[in-house]
Amino acid sequence: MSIKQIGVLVGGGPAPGINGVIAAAATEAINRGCSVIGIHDGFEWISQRFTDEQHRLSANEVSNIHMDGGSILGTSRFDVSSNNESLQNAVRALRKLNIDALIAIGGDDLVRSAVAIEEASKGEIKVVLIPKTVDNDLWMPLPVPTLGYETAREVGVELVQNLMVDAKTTGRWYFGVIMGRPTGHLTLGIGKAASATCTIIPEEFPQNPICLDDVADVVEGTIIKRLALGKSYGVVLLAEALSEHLSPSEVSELQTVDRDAQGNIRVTEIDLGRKIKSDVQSRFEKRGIKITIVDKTIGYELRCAPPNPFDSEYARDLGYAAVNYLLSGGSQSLITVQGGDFLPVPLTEIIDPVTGRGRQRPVDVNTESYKVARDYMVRLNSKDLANESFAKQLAQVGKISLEDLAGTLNRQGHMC
Amino acid sequence: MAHEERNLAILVGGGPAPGINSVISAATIEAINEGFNVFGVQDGFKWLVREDQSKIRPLTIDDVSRIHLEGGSVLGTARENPTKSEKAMNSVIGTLQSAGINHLVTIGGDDTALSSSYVAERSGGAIRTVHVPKTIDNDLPLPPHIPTFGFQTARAVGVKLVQNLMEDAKSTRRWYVIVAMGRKAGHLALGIGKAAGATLTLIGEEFPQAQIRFSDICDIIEGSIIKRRANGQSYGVAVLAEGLIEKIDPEEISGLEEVERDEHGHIRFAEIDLGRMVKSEVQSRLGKRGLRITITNKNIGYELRCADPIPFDAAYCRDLGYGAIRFLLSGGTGAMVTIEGGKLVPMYFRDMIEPSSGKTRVRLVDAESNGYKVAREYMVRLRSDDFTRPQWVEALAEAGHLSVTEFRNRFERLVTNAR
Repeated sequence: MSIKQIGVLVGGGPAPGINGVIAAAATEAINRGCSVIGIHDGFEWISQRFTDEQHRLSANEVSNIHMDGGSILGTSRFDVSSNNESLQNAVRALRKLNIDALIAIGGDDLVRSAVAIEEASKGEIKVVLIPKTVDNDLWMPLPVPTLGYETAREVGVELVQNLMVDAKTTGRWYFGVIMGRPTGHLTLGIGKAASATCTIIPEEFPQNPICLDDVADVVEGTIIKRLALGKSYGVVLLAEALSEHLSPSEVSELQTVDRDAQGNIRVTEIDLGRKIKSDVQSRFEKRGIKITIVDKTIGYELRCAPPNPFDSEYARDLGYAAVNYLLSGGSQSLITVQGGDFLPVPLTEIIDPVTGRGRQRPVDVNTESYKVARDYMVRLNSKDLANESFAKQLAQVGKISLEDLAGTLNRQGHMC
Repeated sequence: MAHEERNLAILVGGGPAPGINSVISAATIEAINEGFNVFGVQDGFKWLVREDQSKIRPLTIDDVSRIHLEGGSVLGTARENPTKSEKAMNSVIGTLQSAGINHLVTIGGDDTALSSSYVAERSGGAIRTVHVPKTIDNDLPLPPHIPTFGFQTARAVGVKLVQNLMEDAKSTRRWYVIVAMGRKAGHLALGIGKAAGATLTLIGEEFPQAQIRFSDICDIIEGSIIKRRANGQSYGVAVLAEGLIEKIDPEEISGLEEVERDEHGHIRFAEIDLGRMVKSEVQSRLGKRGLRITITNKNIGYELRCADPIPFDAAYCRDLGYGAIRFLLSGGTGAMVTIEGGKLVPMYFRDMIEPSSGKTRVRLVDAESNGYKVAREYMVRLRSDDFTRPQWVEALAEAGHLSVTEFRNRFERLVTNAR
């Protein structure tokens, strides 16, 4: 069966480069004699069998959008695989629109929907997925970033650089909480590139759940070590994903936890930065040390930035590759670009057998690359304490006993 | 007195703003070229108050020739306020004098300006001072069309962020409630909101009365959300000036935990989460009527203060730094240097002080100006003409899940009170 009409939709949070994929896919499909239907707001409307919102994309309409942030088709977190009625509605709506193939632009959330649609249509509707998320956490061969990540981190680095200069100028600490769920990619990516004083991600903790005290221990150690080095300022980046790994009893203390349409904790609702700030500040206050700490959340302002050249080029490759793969008879795959080659990865390979969702890739803390990031951070470590004179100095500036200082290192790994 | 050595010190007070290094650079180069010895004082008045002379270090042209396009301050900054006590002021003057300083360039906002004028006065003219007005808040009493340096850069970065959030709001169909820094004045919030074309911007100055109710702020935003819904748009961005907090009836916010104040007695606005309060109040009001609206709150401010200066501020700051030295060379003291129409115009401290409070006058947004009117015209807010056509009132009420009477009772007073 040849493909005549291709649908394009976007799911999940926005990411830089979405419009570039829409533009590249639509242009290539039109050039190849297909027509393209833009489906608005993910599966939200078609799952209710509404087809009015959708419209045919013209080459003209998309010729100038590839450098714009956002999504001309909107986006939605609605999970069409969550119930059979929505799924059947969506398939009927897609059939009514005469759609033979669907390009779904989204992250791990969308994998399950992509599989479900093709299954429910008995293979009549071919589905491919474009790996889009600023979180960089969709399972792919490791060096390949997800679409939007590089731009988000670039804007994030710019903001963190401003905060680093501000911290130095005003002699204070900034605690930046960086979006990303449930992994630390974006946080580490920003922290490493900007060279923040210390970046803390969930992957570095061997135990699960993570205790708030452990995070505060790391931060406190960093602040004391900087003081001993004669610096009363710095920037600590915390992955908001830490919130997802905290023990549930600690989380419930923090805030009523919101969950979004797909059951994810709306982690930004937990004010991790404010909590760590007040914990660390009170630790120092008790010992008569005044530290100014300002907490700052970074994330939403990154998602709709205009794509940087990397993502705008990457988006074009992905959109083009998606259409070509569909027209050559392919389906049920994640479109990837690896070393200039277009390699579709079967969705079966990236499905987490337990959740049915896309597999996620955590930051691999055993890589050289993580080691490099880590080695340039200022963190208290056992070597610092082994050096007798430095250890004394640390204890002195931190107004803390050597035993307590060592305790903060040893405590990590215990159960909370 | 024959030719005594001319020793000039530069210091920075208050919060950082883009362009500080450009001023330091321009002033240092010009002063050295004019035969001054130039010194940089680290961290504002902090160490001078503690009589620590070691933080006064010589500056050379090499030290400053490449810093003019960098954010931050190579001399740091501090909020230490020496005008609070006689003793502190004596320490400052004594420490400067024992280091041989007889000229002082201060870079800062209103508090630093005041400290600078005290140094000129209390040293009996032995230390001649000139102040360069700096703040991203744009709230110093300059002529209406002249910005404080740093404001234009801060707003350029802020606009970029708000644009991203506007795009995000549209893509995800939600509302962002953004609180922008700026202390009492709404310049930064309005400057960002107007330039970005945010759905609406709310500043303290639009309310002529001294106190406003938190619930009125929520009513205005709720009204905009409803009006947008009636226009078929389920998303938007509201920019709020943090200065609104100061105007809110304290009774209403007394329930809030830890209202911190800084060294100058200012409320630490950044510590009060106005955005979060507005978000939860408006979201729950609408939720009770079955309207599920996602609102995300966001604070903007700290990330703007140390951005690299845009060309406007870089060039402006060179004028200011140069102007400061020319002013001292002309024999001047005790003034703030301003550039008006390309000309150096000193502004004397006595003209900047509010006689009643002894503090520097704060320049607020003029809500009667054409500039404000234009900003306001393009906002989506309920206006009196929204209540004239019954059909439209019905549409609005329906969009808000209210009866026409309920809708009128809730919102009509907002537009009749306003004008």
